[in-house]
Amino acid sequence: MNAKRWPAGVSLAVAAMLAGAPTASAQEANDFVIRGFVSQGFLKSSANRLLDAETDEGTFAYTEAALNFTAQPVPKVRVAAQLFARDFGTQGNNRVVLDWGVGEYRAWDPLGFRIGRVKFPVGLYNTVQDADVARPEIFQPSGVYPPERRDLTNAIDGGGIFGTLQLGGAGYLEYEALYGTLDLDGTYILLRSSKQASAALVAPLSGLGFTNVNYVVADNSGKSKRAWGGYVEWHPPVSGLRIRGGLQGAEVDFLTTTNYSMFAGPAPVSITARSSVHFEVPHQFVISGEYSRGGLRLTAEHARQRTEGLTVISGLPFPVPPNATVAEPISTYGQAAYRFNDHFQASGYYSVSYADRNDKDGAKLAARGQAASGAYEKDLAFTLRADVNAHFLVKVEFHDYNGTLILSPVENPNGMEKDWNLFAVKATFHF
Amino acid sequence: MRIAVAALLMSAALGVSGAPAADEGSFVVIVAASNPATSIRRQELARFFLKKTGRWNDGRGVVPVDLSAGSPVRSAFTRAVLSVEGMGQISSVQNFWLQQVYSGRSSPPTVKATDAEVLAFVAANPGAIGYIAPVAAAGGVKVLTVTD
Repeated sequence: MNAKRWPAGVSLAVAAMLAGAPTASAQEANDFVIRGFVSQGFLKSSANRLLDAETDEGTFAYTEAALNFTAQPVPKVRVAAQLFARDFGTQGNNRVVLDWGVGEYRAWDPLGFRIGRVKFPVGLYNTVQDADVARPEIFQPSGVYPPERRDLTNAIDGGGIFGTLQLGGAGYLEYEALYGTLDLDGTYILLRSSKQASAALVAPLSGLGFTNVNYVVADNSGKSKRAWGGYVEWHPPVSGLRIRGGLQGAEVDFLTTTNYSMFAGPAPVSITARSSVHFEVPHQFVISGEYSRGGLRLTAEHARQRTEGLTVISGLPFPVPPNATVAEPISTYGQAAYRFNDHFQASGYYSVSYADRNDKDGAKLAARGQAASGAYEKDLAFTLRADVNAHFLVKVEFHDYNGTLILSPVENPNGMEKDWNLFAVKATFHF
Repeated sequence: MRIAVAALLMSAALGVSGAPAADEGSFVVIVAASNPATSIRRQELARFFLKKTGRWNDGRGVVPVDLSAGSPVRSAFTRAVLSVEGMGQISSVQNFWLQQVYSGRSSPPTVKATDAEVLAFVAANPGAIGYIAPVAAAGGVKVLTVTD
């Protein structure tokens, strides 16, 4: 871990202290509330590198920090924002970003307006993907909450409507609908896309007789054309039960400039290639159910989407036809969490995900020369959470994986093991 | 998936029962004396305190006020009222607010340390609603009947 990265995360906490954040309870004052947390994790996988972190060797390069404020200047108006810094392998580097920031006007229960950078309500728990303190596990089920695509589902820059509708004896409905764009500047999904697009040309160049083909990503940029999403959540007249249906979509473009260096016989050769990747999720459905009673919480979610990609490459000494791809990823998980008392909570989930429901065993991937295990992922996870006191908690988590869907071949150049596991520990101080 | 859904629905069927009756006499729900309401349904009360709805029938905004997390009166109120939303434990309610706060969706009610502070807050705010121990009820406020 780069020691220089520490101050960004810690400085958020220090800033909060200097700002006069209450130490006993942030709920005491309602007009202006400051909250925040600092997390430090340790990850060790039996094999494979997860999200470009050196998890196979064991790594502490997993820190998160957030500073959050909420203010209600007048009764119908609320403003809130969160600064967030993250370091996960090569992701984030503790760069402080505006995680979300919203202005809200709600004059009526059935209709309110929200504008700004708004957390994307995918599934039941996407909006707390940056709030370790607000969930039982360290890593959320990756099929519904894919960590490698978190930048595509973090927040929408735009606005929308929300509200609560009474249904009489049938309970009530909550809903939200948002439209806007995504901020992809400097994100991991952009970096990963650039690396994969660049690496994809190494084999064709080698096939032409070039040797020692190496590349450097000289420049990349990401632009979001649009993103939209929303949900309807039904609370039937059954204590603790809620059922949600959500629909989302996004359209993004990634541009990458890559410098290739190689040899044609004894002569060094340099080539600059430009790749354009258009990626679209025309729609994603997420169906969710949660039941809570006492300390028990049961959750099941199912996600299904369609993705369309088009890659166009120029600048090469040979023609490369545009490459169009279509896939229909699906994922399902079930989770049980039980809180024994104020201090201890145990939870576990089983998640099954496929990159394409028409290629569950990876036969099509294998036919293209890729590992069949990249087509699926089955994840059995267990977590113990200990809230030592009101401000400090520790989580210990174990994952048993079958499949390499969330892994990147570019980040694992020596190959990936199909069956692997991950051990994670995370400590969080919050106020 | 089918098994998980079946288990979910079965568990839900078991959870239809209401709040524990033993907590009923442990608190009273109060509003300002000028508030025209005389009773409130348990479901509506829970939604007010979770800020899922926030309007009285006359259109006035609801201002819920909580007691501190360590208060036995708050524990009784949570078991008796917020359990209809599946949050019968204060830790569940606190986790709900953590999710709301860190997602930018909502913020928890004002918290007062004592019954006297809750009473003073409610008396001074026409839209306020709170809960206190039965013996603490006094002037400037009135007690609402909680119905199912």
